[in-house]
Amino acid sequence: MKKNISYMGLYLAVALVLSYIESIIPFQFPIPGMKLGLANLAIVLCMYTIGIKEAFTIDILRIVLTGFLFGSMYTILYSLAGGILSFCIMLLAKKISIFQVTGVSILGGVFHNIGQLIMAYIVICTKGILYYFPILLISGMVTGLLIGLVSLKLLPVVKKIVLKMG
Amino acid sequence: MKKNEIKLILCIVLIAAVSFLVCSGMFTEKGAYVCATINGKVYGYYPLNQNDRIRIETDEGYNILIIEEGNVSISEANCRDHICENHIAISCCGESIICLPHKLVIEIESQQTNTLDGVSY
Repeated sequence: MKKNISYMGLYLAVALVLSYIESIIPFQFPIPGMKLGLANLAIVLCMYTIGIKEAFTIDILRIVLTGFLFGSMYTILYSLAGGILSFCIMLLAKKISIFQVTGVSILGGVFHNIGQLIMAYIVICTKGILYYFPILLISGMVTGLLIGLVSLKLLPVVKKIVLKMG
Repeated sequence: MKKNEIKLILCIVLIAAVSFLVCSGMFTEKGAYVCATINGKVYGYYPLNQNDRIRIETDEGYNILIIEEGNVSISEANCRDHICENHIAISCCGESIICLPHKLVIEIESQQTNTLDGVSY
């Protein structure tokens, strides 16, 4: 149990650093809600090495901390909506076992954007916001795919490290 | 297992394509008014047939709305992301420009609906 907390701390630190890197990228995406989601790499890796409950804990923590550090209250609100929905879907996808990491990550990316869009619709109350649905679907899929491919390559290495030090 | 991923990607692309077609078919009627709402409450209605430059003050900052030749755009804003400034000009009913940090929605309508209360449909 003690081991787990140290690893969670490490994964959380990685997630925060990835969020920081993302926040200093000068390139501006034209659509609200479109981002690289690099921090999800840490969440996915944690999910597949330490465990699901631990991954969920650091997912919530990194959303709140990132919001305080680099965003605003609304950032936290939208990210939480997206994060919780995407985590539940990823959990289901992993349990059903028809997808590899890549598939789980794609679903995570897509539903993170869907969750954020739904929350934005609740806050703004305009049908027009749903106009962004198709493009956010594609961008969520692409970023999810990228994170998934990187996870696929990294998982064997990370698993070895965790087992060795464990 | 790789096959499942390919199927998933194709599914998502298909859903995105279909919803895109549905969306683009919906916004074709030229509008008559642009309605600005802040946090759901109507801020003002402006006719599209008059060129205008309107400074909209929200709690979190300002946005400058430009009406020119029936096209509406935001030329300047002091929000964090400036996504509203980069948005392409809109002119058809139902189209909108949204400034999320300022909770501002600029939407094209064909006629003025209720001007007293907040409008949401």
